[in-house]
Amino acid sequence: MKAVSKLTAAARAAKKAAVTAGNIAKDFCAPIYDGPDREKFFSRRHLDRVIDSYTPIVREDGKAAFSKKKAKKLASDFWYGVPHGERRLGDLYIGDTGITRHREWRGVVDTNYCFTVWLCLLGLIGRTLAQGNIYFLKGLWRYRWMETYLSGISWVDRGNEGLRGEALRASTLHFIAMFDSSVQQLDSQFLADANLHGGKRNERWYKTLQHDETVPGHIAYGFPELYDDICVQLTTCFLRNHVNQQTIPWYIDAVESVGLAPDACSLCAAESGLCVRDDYPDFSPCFVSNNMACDGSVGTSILQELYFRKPFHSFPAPMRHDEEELHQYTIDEFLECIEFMEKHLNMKWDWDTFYKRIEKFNDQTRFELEKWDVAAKTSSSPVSSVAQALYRIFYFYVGDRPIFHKTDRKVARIMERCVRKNIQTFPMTRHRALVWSCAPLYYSYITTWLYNCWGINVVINMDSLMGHNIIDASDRDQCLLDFAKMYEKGVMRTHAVGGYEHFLEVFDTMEQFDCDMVIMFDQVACKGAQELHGVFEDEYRKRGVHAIWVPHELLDHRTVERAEMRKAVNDYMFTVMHEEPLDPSLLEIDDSRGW
Amino acid sequence: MRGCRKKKSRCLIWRILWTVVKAALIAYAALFTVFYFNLDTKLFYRIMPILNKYHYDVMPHKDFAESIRGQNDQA
Repeated sequence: MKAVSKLTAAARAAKKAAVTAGNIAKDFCAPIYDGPDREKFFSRRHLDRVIDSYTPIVREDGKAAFSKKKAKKLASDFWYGVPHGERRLGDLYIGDTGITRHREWRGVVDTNYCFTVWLCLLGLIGRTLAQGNIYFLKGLWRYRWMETYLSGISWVDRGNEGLRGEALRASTLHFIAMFDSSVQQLDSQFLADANLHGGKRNERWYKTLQHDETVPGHIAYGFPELYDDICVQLTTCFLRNHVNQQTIPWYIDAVESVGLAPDACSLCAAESGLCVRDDYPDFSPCFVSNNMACDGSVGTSILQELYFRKPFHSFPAPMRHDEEELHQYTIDEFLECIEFMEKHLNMKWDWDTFYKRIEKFNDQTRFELEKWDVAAKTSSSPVSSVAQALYRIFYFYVGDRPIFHKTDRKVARIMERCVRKNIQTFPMTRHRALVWSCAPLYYSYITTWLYNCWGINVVINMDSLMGHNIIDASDRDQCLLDFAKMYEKGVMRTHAVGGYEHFLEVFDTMEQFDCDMVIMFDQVACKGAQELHGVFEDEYRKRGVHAIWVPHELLDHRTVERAEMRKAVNDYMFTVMHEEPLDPSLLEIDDSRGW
Repeated sequence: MRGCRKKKSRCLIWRILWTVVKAALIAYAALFTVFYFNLDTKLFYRIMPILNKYHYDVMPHKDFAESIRGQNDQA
């Protein structure tokens, strides 16, 4: 009887497995887009498009003829790539998937460069797997957010869409640095993660520091024995949304299902949702958080303290960051934080190591200031807006790493060449724009679209202008004071807090960077920024500044779709600026199911 | 005899080199095809919904609300 019941159970399980395998195969083989305008491979429409786009055959009045002129144009486009102003990047997209039929042909040299970069990115992943790190795969199996990084290479493609020459090279180097650093962070997390080691805490667990993404990695500079310090929300939440907008809503819905109001900031909601879904890795004996960027973050920290159940310390920064007497408060908080870390990591803080790493970070700050100088005073800055913005936030919070110094050296060479030869890196620029307020994380490359479609070159954005003072590491007191000033002006702090006059520094910044336009990102769930909406409108009107208000909801693409954001820009450019797009195929694209 | 052996070994070296070059060209063509036609992105675009539906959506999760019940009282 037992044998019969065992056999029956085994047969049922086998049947279930076969049905599941069949369903998986069916889902896998289904077309990725099956809309009414789907272009099947073996179809007349596909053949017509291939003939019209890729052959020197011209069809007029139903007759086909070979055209020498078209053949010459095709040969030139093959070698140099279709120039901006003639190309139609929007035609590459498949339906509403945001996936392109094929990668952009940028000419022989640039396409081969992109191919080399693609191999390099695959190599970065392969290197981690080749080192026998099965925990990387275990992490993919355990954490839902890890699947986002399967679309990592596509993220690089989207950020560099339309770029050529030096701009392509410099921007791609930034993306490679972020990609490499993310892989390293994931690697460090998973090697120490108790969840992937059957609940056991290994040596790495005891010597890894976990901190909030708005706490910079500088707090770990004084621990030479530390394996790594990791911003726990950087790879689990923040970066993920830039790579793939579709993976965040599940976490937002999770925290709303336990009672969070849906009009709360989606960044805080998503970070809290990771707690509700039990999807944070456990790789450290303690956690350092803070009160940045706002009270939403404080609320998230409360939930995280309940979830992590480990020694928790808050390293808050005062809001009135201009007031000199408050810097001492930050210094005292930092020293308390050091004591906390020493106690729970069981390590001694070493000031000499701290000074050395601060000096190395100063090199990154100095180069950043050089980049801003070139962007402000010339039209030869080779770094695209999205690469500049993301890289800035990334290295500020991840801290001093060898890959960032290596990237800076290579970009410096490219930038020097561009300035020396006066290379117009974004030659179709019609407007130099400044991006102000909170940027949409699910559509970070809107600035790439702005340039490709309308020739609006975003020169700098508000978040990049966070703490950029050089820290004097020769004297302890001065070092602490300078560090405190830098810390207080973290992301969304330099301009968004400290008094309304900081938020209105937009006009000074426009003058410094020689901008004639502002893209005002209107985060619909940010109560702080919403309060000043009317003030901004009045000031823009008074000064006659072209300001395009682009609504978004930070991490949640469902509230305001990307198409609506593009429509806001299109409407302004048509009705107010009376301009025609450089690439009309990008005006109305449906990427609702896109990454 | 020695001359014959030298010729044979040179032939062998060229043959090996030519095989390596052929293999490299085939690998380049194959990888470039995958790269240019975006086959990797299309593959992951198909895989991700399958992973969601058949793995992540059916994974058991800790009930967070239950796990923190009473923690505030203890504080």
